Amino acid sequence: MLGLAKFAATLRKMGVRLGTSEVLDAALALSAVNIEEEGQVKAALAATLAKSPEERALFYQAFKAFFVPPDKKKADIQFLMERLAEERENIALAEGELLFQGETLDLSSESKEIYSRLDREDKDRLLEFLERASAGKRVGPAFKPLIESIVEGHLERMRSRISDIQTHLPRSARTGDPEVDAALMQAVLSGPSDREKLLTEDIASVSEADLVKLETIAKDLSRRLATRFSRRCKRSARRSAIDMRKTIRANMRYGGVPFSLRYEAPRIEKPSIVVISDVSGSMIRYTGFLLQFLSGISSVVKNVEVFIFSEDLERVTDIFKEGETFSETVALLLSRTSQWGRGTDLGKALHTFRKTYGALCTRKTVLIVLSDGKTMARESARKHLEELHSNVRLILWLNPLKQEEWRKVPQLQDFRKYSKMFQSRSLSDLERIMRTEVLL
Amino acid sequence: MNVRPTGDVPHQEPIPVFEEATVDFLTEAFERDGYICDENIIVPVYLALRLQKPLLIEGMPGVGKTEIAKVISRVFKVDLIRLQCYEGLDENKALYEWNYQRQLLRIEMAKVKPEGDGPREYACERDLFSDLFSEEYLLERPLLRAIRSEERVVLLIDEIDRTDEEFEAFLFEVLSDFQVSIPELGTLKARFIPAVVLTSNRSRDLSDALKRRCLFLYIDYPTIEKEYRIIRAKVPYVSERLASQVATAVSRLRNDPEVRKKPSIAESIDWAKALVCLEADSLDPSVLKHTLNLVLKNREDFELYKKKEKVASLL
Repeated sequence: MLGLAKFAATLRKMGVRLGTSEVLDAALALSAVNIEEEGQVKAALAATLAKSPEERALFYQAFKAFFVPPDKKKADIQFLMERLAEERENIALAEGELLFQGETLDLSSESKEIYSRLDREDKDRLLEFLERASAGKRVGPAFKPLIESIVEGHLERMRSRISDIQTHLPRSARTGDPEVDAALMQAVLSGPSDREKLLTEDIASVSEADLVKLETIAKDLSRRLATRFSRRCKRSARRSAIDMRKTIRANMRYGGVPFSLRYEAPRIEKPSIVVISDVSGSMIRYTGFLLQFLSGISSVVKNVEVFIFSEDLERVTDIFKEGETFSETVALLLSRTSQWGRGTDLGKALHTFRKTYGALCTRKTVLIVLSDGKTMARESARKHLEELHSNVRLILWLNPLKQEEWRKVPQLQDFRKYSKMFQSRSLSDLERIMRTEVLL
Repeated sequence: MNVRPTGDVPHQEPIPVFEEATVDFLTEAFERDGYICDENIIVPVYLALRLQKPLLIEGMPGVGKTEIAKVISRVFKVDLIRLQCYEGLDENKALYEWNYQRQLLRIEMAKVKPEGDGPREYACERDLFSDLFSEEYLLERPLLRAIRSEERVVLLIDEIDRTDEEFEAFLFEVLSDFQVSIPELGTLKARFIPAVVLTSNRSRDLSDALKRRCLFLYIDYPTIEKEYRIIRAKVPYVSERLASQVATAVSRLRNDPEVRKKPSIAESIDWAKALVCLEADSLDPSVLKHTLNLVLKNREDFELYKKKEKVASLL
């Protein structure tokens, strides 16, 4: 039973949602099957502990890592211990190196770990900064907290550069129990599932071969989102007030005795969506996927209008309706944009949009801007955005840039005043934004 | 999926009650019924019966989810009560409803004074009221029928993902305690706990609370070998060669990422049956060309497999 509790802890850390009642069920199930047959044990645990195909994949991974012969288990624990010892050494080393005026900086263990994993070059750069900071005139010990927060922030940004993060058991995933941690470590080593990886991968860096898979996932996600939303509309439509006029009319033939009741069906308000999308360079892929996603949920939105821009704006709603697959959509987009130069001018694009298609903006419109914000004519873009902001329900800005990099593009701060800006690099980003912002 | 032609050797051994069935008994009984499966399916079914918990089955369309409930009912020779879910299904359609029209008629009739000086039918309104909410006016729907059944039954709640979350929450009482509350009649408890099977096509995610109350079974597409056995069991007169070719071709179609609608098991059985009718004893390009529309039911997929090299990839 202790083994079962530990296995449950492993599953929880891997992201399977488990309550006590499930673990109890698993215990009951185990007492009902033949413990000596691995197949039965596995099936019994799977039936009680993993309750979706995604969880099922995690379950099999955990099962493989956790239920191993004793020798292997010993070796796994040994491996974990070595890793932890190595990590402690690294942290001690980092403490020895990261000094401010001869004193060790008070940093989180995570940051120290990140530091120990950096390239020599990056380390040296950081050390050089510390040295210069320590030697500065009128710099006293009072500056230490400031320096600490700078270093901490810097290391946090460097996190993405660490290549071997896959072979490392994150601190938040540890339980302190060697058996559980060793199994988790093995599970981490075997890597995330394909689907999970694709969901969170930057759309622009997905390989051609994986694009089809990603497209299938996008379809699946958007379909589920659409069903969920339509259900919600239907639910509010039912069980509403009795429509007296219709009821009386329908029951005239029964001498006014209300035999059959008629209900009022409230009108369902669906949002209409206007997309203004940047298609310069690598942005075209993000646009392609956004359009694919929108076509998946088009049954639950009133109307979708699509515009693309780079130097100027063009209406491409027909592409949205015609392009059935991702590759078709991208090919059509490319054929439209080939005549353009390189410049990106959001200001001009918004100007054209307001002048020609201003009527599309109503209080029910969600305006989606997909762009990294690197544009000419910032001031005019800002002004148009401000005006549009008061005309539509919401301006959603999907930004393929990482959130950490936003501050390098100063105009984004201005644009954010008038729009809700989200990092939108991967499919899971896209799905979350659609779920929480568009289909309320 | 259809039933294997009956007329097999009648089952001699006594049929156990749900909770007393064993894994071996179920394996054998399912096999005899023509439902080919392994312990990944049998064990959850066994546990659901043994622990008296509902079994939630998910999987792609046409992998035999609903069939499991039907097989259970046949194996144990009990009735199957089916609740087909759809958008907007509510408790009136699922549990019970008062026969409103009949109640109205009763009220109307009570208003009429009997001829002469005879006594009124009801001494006071209260009597009328208690009469109106008696079982005579109760319309039983599948859930209530399953709960009030005088003998063991299998309750199939099909395509639960089509209902809304509200209805799901309403099911909790039924699924965890096997009882229902009707305000006018009180709480009704099941005399025999039914075997409950819920199926879902994953058109939306079900709530955690519902999942917690159920055992979970995910049915994937079968392996080639398993599909071969299914075809052999379900299609009379199919040759070994044809069955294995069909199983292989269907599996390749499912693994082709360009195919949008993956063929289901039911479709591969239909395909094999059609091939038997056409007296084809093996697959070749011309047979494929004429019968592929039985498994590819989408224009784009069908167009895709008009190409020669695509057809050749299936053989």
